[in-house]
Amino acid sequence: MSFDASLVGRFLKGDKRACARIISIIEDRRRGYEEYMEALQPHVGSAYIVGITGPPGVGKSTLINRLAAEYLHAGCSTGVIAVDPSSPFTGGAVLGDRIRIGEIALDPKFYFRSLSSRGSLGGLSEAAVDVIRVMDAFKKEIILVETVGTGQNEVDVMRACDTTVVVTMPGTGDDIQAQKAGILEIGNIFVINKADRDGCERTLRELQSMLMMNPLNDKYETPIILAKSNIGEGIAEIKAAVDKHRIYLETSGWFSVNRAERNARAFKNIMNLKIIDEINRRLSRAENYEEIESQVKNGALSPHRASVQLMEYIEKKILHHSAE
Amino acid sequence: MNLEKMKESFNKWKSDYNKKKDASKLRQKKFMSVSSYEPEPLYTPLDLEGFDYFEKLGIPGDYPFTRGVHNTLYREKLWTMRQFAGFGTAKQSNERYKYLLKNGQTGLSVAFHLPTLMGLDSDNPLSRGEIGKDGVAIDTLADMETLFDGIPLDRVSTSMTINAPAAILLAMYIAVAKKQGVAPEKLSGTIQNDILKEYIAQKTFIFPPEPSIKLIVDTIEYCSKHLPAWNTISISGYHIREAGATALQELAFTLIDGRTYVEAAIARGLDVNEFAPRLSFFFNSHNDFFEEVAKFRAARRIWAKLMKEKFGASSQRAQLMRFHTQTAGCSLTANQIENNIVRVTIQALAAVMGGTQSLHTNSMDEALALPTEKAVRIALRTQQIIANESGAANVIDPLGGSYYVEKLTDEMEKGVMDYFDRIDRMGGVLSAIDKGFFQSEISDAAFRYQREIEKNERIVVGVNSYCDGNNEKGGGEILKIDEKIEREQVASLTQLKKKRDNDKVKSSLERLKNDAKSGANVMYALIDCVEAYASLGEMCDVFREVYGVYEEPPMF
Amino acid sequence: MSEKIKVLIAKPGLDGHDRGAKVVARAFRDAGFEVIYTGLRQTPEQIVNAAIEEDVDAIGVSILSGAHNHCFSEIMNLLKHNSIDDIMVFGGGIIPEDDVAYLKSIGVAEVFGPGTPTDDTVKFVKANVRKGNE
Ligand code: B12
Ligand SMILES: Nc1nc2c(ncn2[C@@H]2O[C@H](COP(=O)(O)OP(=O)(O)OP(=O)(O)O)[C@@H](O)[C@H]2O)c(=O)[nH]1
Ligand SMILES: [Mg+2]
Repeated sequence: MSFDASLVGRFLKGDKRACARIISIIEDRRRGYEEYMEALQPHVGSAYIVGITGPPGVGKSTLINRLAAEYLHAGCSTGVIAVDPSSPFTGGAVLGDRIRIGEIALDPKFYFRSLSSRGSLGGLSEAAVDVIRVMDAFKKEIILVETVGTGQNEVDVMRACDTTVVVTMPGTGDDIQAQKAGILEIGNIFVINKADRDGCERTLRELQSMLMMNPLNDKYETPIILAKSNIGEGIAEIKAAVDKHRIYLETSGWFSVNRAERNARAFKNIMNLKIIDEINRRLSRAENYEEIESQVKNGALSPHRASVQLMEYIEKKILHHSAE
Repeated sequence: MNLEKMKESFNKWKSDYNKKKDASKLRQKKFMSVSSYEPEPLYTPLDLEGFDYFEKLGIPGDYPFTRGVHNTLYREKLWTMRQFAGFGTAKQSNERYKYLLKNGQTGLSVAFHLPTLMGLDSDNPLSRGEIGKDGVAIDTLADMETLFDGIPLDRVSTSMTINAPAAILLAMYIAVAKKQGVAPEKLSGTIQNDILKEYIAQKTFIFPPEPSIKLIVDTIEYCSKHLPAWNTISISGYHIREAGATALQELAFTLIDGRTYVEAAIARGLDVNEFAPRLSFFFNSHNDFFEEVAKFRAARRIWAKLMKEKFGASSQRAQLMRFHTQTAGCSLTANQIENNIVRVTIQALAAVMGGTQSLHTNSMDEALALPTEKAVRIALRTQQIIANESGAANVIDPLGGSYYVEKLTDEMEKGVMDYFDRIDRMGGVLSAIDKGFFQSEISDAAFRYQREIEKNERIVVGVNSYCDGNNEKGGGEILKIDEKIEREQVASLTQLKKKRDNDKVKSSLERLKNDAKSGANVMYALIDCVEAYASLGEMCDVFREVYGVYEEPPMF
Repeated sequence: MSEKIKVLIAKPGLDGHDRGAKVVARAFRDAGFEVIYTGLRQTPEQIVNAAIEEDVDAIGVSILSGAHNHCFSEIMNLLKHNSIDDIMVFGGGIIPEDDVAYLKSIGVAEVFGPGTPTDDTVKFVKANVRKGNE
C-alpha cells in the first residue's frame, strides 16, 4: 500500500474513519507508515497527555469514562487510548475496555481506541506513543491513556505522558508493594478508587508512608485522591489535580524538558528497533547463519561462542562494508 | 460386611480392568460427565467406608434433609408442575395461562419481556424491537390487572422471574390481589429477586450490588410482616449453569449467594427462624442423571448444615431447602428437535429423583423460539407421565444408598466447601464478582464444553454424531410474535400516561425518591406508586438516579 | 508487526445472553484475531461508531432475544448512511430461517445458528474479510 495523501486530507478535516485508518497503518507498522507520521508531524504537540495506570480491575476504565465526560463537558475534545494485554500464544486478543464507555461514546468530540499489546517485546510502547501522536494531530486537546501497570512496556508508555495517574484500591496492600519499584516513582497523582470499600484508611496510610520515601519537592506535593468512580465521586478532584500538575510542569520548566526528552527517547527507541531489524535482516543472509543457528539448537555450539562468531561477521561484512 | 474380602475382590477386578484399559480395549479414552468430571468405572462399599447414615442422610423430613424435605415426599403431594410462560401482551399471556391451568398445570410462572426485566417502559427508545418478544410486556398496574384477569390469586401460586425490579412487580401483584379482594396474607408464590446471579450469569442487572441487596432485604422484611406465604427470593443456580457452569460450580455459587443474602438479612436485624423458611432455591437439571441427583441431595445437606451451624437456625423449616427445577435449555439442540423430548425426560426424572418441589420441563423447540402451544403441551405431558406412569414418585429418595450416588454427593459437598474457601479468601461474593471470578470460571467452562463438542470428545446426538442428511434444522411451525404488538403496547401506555392522575404519580414518585435516599424500606412507597399507575420505568428511573447503574467487568 | 484481522463482537438491544458471544470471541482470539468486545446492550449507533473508531474488518453481531430484524437493519442502515462498504456484517444466535433470508437480503454476510462449530465461523471470516483476501 502506498501513501494516500487524500487520507491525510480527510484526517485533517476531522474525519473519524480517516483517523481510524491511519492509526491502524501506524499501529501495524505497515510499509510506509513513516510517511503518515511525517505528514501529521506539523500538527502534533498541542494535546495534553494523561496516563492512567494500575492493576487489573481497580476501575481505570470506569474512571477514564467519568474523567473524559468531565473534559467533554468543559468543552475539551478528548481522546482515549486503552492498552490491553493480549493472548501470548496466538497473538490474538479480546479487548474489553470499551465496555465502560457510556453515553459519551457518541459525542462527536470524543474518540476511543483500543490497542492490544500483541505479546511482542518492544514495539508496543513505540506504537502506543505514535498512536498518541496521531490523536494529538487529530486535534484532541486531552488524551487519556489506560495501561495495566505491569512491565517495562507499560512504564515506557507512561513516560510518554505529561501527567501519570496511578490508581489503586482498598485492600490491595500487596499490589502496592509489588508496584512500588516501577510505578510509584512515575506517579504524579495517586487515586484510591473504590473508596466505598472497607480498608480505605489503611491503604491511604500505606500510600502516604511510601510516598514519604520519594525525594522531597517543595514545589509539588504528590496528591492522593479518594474516588468512587462508579458514581463519579472524586473525578472533579482528579481533573483539578491534573490541572495543578500541568501548571507546575509549565511554571517549573519541566514541561518542555520532559517533552524534549520524550522526543529524544522516541527517536532513540525507533532507531534502536530499526537498527536491530536491519542488522538481523542482513545477518540472516549470511551464508553460514542457518548452520550456526542449527548448531546452537542442537547444542554443538554455545550461544556465546555463536554470538562471537556472528559479531565478527557483523563487524567485517556489514559495518565495514557500509563504512566504505 | 467383610471389608478384607471386598478389598481383595476389588483389587482383582481393578487389575483386570486396567489390563483392558492399557490394551486400549475401552470404548473411549476418557469417560466424563456433562461437567467434565471423570467418574470411576465402579463404586463399591469401599468408597463409603465409615459412612454414618444419620450424619450424612437422616430420615426424609429430618436434618440434614439429604433424602428430602418431607416425610411422605410425593406420596402426599406431587411436585408443582409449573411451566414458565409469557409472551406478547398481557392479554395473550393471560390466555396461555388459562390454557395451561386447564391442561392440569398446578402453578403459574411468569416470563417478562426484556424491557420489563431491565426496568424500561415499552415506549423507551431502547425497547424498540423487543416488545413482547421474550415474555410478556408489563409497564403498569393496568397490564398486571389484565395478566391475571379471571385467575383467582388466592387459589393459584405464581412465580415471577424478575430480579432487578422485583420489588416493583411484587407491589403490582399485591395491588392486583387487593382489587380482586384477596388479602396479602393469602398470596402464595415467588419472586426470583436474586440479584447476585444476575451479575454472575443472567446479566439483567440494573443497579450496583449494594443497593440491589438492600432492595432484596426490603422485600424480605416486608413479606415477613405482610405476606407470610410468599417466597421472597428464589436463589438460582439455573442461570449460572445455563451460562456454562459445571454442576459443582452451579451448586457452590448458588449456595454462597444464598449465604450472602442470609447474612444481609441478619445484618438488618431479622430473625433467621422467621425469614429463612421463605427462602427458596432454583436449580438446573442437565443430562448427566447421577451427577444431577447427587447435586440436589448435596444441596439440601449443605444448606441445612450451614443454616444450623453457621446461622444458628433452630427451626427445621429454617434449615430445609426447598427448590424449583428446570430442565437444561442449553442441552437442547436446533437439529432434530424431537430428540429434545428424550433429553428433557431424562433431566426431569433426575429432578424428581432429587426430590424437587416444582418443575419446569423445556419444550422441544427451545433452540428455535418461544414454544408453540403443542410443544408446551408435550413438555407438560412429560412430567405427567413421570408422575403417573413411571413409578418414580412411589418411593422416597430411591437412589439413596447407591455407592455411586452417595460418593458423588459427598464429593459435591467437598467441592462446594473448596469453592467457599476460595471465594472467602477473595473477600466474599461481592469482591469475587468485582474481580470477575465467577464470570471467568463460567466462561472457561462454557468454552471447554464447546470445544469438547467440536473436537468430538463429547457426543451430542444430531449435532456432531448421528446426523442424517442435510435437512436437520428445525421442523415446521414456530411461534412468531406479531410486530404490531409493539405499536399497540406503546399506544396503550401513552394513553394511560395521559389519563392517570399525574399529580398523584408525581407525588408518589417523590416519596419513593425520599425513601430510597433515606434508606427506609421502599415497599410502602412502591405500593403507592403502583396504585397511582406510575410505570415501571418511572420507578426504576428514581432508583437509577439514587443508586446509580452497574456495568460488568469484561471477562473472557 | 503484522496486520491482524480485527472483529467487533457486538451485543445489540437488551439481550443479555452472552455465552455464545464469549465463546465466539474466545475462538476468534485463539485464531489470532484481535477482538473488540462492546459489552452488553449497545445501540446500533454505538456499535457502528465503535466499528469506525476501531477500524475493524467485520462486525459480528450476537443476538438471541428475537429483536434481530430491528437491530441488524438499523446497523446496516447506519453503515450505508456513513458510506461504509468495507466492513463485513455477520452474526449468530437464535434467528429463524425466514429471518435469515431477510437479513441476507439487506446485506448481512452470514448467520450462524446454535450448534455451529466455532472453527466454521473462523474460516468464514478469514475467507471473507478484506484483509483475508489481500
Ligand atoms: C443459555 C440460555 C439462557 C441463559 C443465558 C446465560 C448467558 N449469560 O448467556 C439464561 C438462563 C440466563 C437465559 C435467560 C433468558 N432467556 Co435464554 N436461553 C438460553 C438457551 C437455552 C441457550 C443459549 C446458549 O447459550 N447456547 C450455547 C451457546 C454456545 O450457543 P449460542 O448462543 O446459540 O451461540 C452459538 C451460535 O448461535 C453462534 N453464535 C452466537 N452468537 C454469535 C455471534 C457471531 C458473530 C457468530 C459468528 C456466531 C454466533 O455460534 C455459537 C457457537 O455455536 C437458549 C435456547 C437454546 N437452546 O439455544 C435460550 C433462549 C435464547 N432464551 C430465551 C429467553 C426468552 C430468555 C429470557 C428472556 C427469559 C425471561 N423472560 O426471563 C431470559 C433473559 C436473558 C437475558 N439476560 O437476556 C429464548 C429467546 C426467545 C426468542 N429468541 O424467540 C430462548 C431461545 C429459549 C426459548 N426457546 O424460549 N437464557
Ligand atoms: N464499588 C466500586 N466499584 C467500582 C468503582 N469503580 C469501578 N468499579 C467497578 O470495578 C470493576 C472494574 O472496573 P474497570 O473500570 O473495568 O477496571 P479496570 O481497571 O479498567 O480493569 P482492567 O481494564 O481489566 O484492568 C467494574 O465492575 C466497575 O463497575 C468504585 O469506585 N467503587
Ligand atoms: Mg480497563
